[in-house]
Amino acid sequence: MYKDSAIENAVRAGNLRNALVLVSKKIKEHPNSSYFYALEAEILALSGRRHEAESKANQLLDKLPSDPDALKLLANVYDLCEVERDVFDKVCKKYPSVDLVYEYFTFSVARGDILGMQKASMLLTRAVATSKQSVDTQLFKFWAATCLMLACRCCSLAPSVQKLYPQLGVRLMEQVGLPTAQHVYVYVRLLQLAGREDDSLRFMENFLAKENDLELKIIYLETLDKMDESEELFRVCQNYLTRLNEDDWDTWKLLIKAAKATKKLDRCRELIASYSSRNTGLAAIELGEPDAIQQYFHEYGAKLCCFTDLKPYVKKGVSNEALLKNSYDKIVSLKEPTLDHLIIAVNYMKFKALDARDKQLVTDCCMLYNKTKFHLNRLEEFDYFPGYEFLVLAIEALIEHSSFDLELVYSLIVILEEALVKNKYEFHLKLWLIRLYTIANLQPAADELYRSLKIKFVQHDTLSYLIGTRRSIGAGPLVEVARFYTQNVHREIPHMIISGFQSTAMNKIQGFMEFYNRLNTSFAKISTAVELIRAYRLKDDQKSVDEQVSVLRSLRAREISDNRDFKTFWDCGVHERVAEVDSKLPPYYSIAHLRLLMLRELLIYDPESRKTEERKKELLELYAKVQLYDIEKWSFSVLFQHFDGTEPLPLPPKPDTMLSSEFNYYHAVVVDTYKQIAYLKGNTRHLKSILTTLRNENREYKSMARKQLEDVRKKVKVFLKNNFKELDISDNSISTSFAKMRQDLDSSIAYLQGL
Amino acid sequence: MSSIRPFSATDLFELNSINLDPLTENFYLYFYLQYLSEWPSLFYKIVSPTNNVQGYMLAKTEGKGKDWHAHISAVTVNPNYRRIGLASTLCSSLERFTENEPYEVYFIDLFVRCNNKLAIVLYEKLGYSIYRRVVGYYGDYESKMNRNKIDDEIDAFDMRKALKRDINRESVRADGRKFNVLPNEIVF
Repeated sequence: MYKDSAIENAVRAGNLRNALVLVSKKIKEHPNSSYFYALEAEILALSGRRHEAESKANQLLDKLPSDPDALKLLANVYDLCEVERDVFDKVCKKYPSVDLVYEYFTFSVARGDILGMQKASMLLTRAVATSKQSVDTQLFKFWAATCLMLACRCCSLAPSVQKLYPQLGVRLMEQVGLPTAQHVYVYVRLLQLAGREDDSLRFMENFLAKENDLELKIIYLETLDKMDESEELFRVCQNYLTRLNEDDWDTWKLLIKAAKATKKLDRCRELIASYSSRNTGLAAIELGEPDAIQQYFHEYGAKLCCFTDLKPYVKKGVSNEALLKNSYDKIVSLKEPTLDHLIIAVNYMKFKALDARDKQLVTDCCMLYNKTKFHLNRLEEFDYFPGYEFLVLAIEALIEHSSFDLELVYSLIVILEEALVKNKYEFHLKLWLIRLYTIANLQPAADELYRSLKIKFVQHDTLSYLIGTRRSIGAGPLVEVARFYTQNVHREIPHMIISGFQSTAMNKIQGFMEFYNRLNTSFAKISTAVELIRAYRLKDDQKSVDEQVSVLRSLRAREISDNRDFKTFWDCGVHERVAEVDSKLPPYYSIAHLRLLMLRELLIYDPESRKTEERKKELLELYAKVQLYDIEKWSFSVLFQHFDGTEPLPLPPKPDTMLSSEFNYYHAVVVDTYKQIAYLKGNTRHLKSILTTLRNENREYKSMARKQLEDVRKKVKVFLKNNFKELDISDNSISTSFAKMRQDLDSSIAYLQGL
Repeated sequence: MSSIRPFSATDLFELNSINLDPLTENFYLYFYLQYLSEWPSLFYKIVSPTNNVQGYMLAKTEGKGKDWHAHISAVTVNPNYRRIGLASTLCSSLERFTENEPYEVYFIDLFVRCNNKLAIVLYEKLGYSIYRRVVGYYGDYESKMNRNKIDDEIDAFDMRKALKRDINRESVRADGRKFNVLPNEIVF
């Protein structure tokens, strides 16, 4: 990190005073080194002496230091001091050497700053033109043109700039030439940004005649469509579908559209009839051909794609249609349905669930699951068993029509655990179970299952919300989630973006930048930091709290990118979020809620910020807007009392059951609120007395929790007999599930007893 | 309904329905991004009209002279879209993209575990044949030392399909099952 290991060690250990002494010595030893002056400014900023740091940084920047490492430090100083300044731009204009400007470019990439990349790449074209080094000038012009294209496509620009950049880019590309698909891609994009779609079509047509580039083909077809060139669109689509034999749905769809516009529907029908594929089966449906749906079901009814393929086309009541109903009735009468039969039944029940998710659906699904589960004994280890979908459909229907209480939650856990025993890789069942465990105060079981899914890298960003919302049992897998951002995102992506430029994969750069920026401003990154702050604060681990606060402070953009994947959870059953079910489950944080939590932490740990008043105002606005649990409202009101003396809300009553995660959460929030106020050196007398009462009570928690669990176990037994008789779950299975649950519940309770 | 589209880095947010499957590997970010930057047209996906990723192909080119070829590093399909020929579509698209300009490769190859009979049958249907057995490819250091100690659990078949540039079909052989090599002998 730093050029001097002693200083680095001091900073890492949080001994900033010592670091300042060491850096002063270095300045005396190397009075002409801009690096150590910049380092001094950074350590001052890290120490909270921001005015001093900014002043030192300004003095140094006025001297236009050309050491890139010093400039990077200065940029960080300005970030820490919350001052907008493009340090490289200023210096590079004075000293436009290739090496320094290249550093500016890589620095901008690392910050995900497209406008910085654009400025740096333009400076690079000039720097290489006058350089004595042997540099590929055409390559850097290509970079500059690409960055102009990116700026227009990804940034908000003034209208005059939006007009100027494409023209500049086109001129650059005309100097570079169009030897590859990547060159044509950038050129075409720039031509289109400049309003020259006609020209872009010509260049694409010429290039595609010699090279079948997928990206250009798609842009070409889209442009023909946009320009209403229906005759040409029909001809080109037909060419791809017949001569090149590319059976592609998008192309079929455009062909149909062009055929309608040019009155060539008969020719279109001929083409469809001459092919026999899933896409043409669907194209016939798209064209409204008679019996096309029935024909499709006949051919693909025993494929799992059947439901999702037909769903956009079927009307309510489709499950009553003779073909579907007859197939289903036949399967029900079989003693041992084959895997094909099983899939037809799955598809049928999905169509039925679209019509009505009622009690009968639950019964039918349980019957079918029981009837087909023998396949689980015959399949190879990793083979896919689609019959699990019967359970998901049944569970969703039951939740929709029941009061969502703990008896139901624990019953569903038993059912799903039983199903997982013989289908141990089924991830939809695992996702459902994780959700239920986190409702049922069985967070250790949720963590274990999350780990069993081998979730790693970018999957943490999309899925960690499952175990990282209102966590009240320590950091757990969130430590690995946080590490993904510091170790993988920041170390791997900028390097690969540069690599993309070097290998001229220009049609991928926009995706790289969006990917990088979405990870940098990711919901999961922020929520993980917020959850970890609470977990570490509860354990009085201030060093770890500080590390997470620095994650929040380092966010430059205001927007939060919500990359959470809710789709996979619902990508079974009827393959869509079922609002009637989802609304009964405890909600995850909204973006506004997360921002509220983030602002709270910044107000506590970053009081010197220039934005403090602005943050307080926004916090109050969000507090009034966001739906919070009562205990959360109370906690905020205590914080407000500290800030402005307003009367706090009375402490809400404890949840009456320990079998809900709200119980742990309640305790965690109360203790955490005390720790917040203690950190702020506020009045904690009242909070201490609350804590004392809670701690006196919590000695009995373990035995009380076990008793509550035993009571639920008895109810679950009855519930399963009444509602899931067809599943035939044995008493032994129920006992096994509850024995494991008792261990997990013990762990949850032990955690809060240790607070 | 399925369409082939280029893969974008942001598609990595959308792969859970495929990559949560126990047989599909989740790689480091740099691995995916390296394929995107080095072989941008050989990493593509197959999607529904609403852009749900149904499967993807991750491939590269390597080798010199007559060993110049495309290599399938990963081809995988969402369980809901299996048994409808999407893997074949992904593989045949790779042939189209690599047998002509700009790649013009001699053949395509892939490695498959010797005990993965289903996959071997699928690739044979697509015109691939076994070129050689790579002994101990999926095993530990010890298993990579003796080419005569075969084990279907940890050995891989190197399967190949000759493309039109390989006029004399020199890149494939009829009795590939009998040829054993060690992993360190595969150098392109």
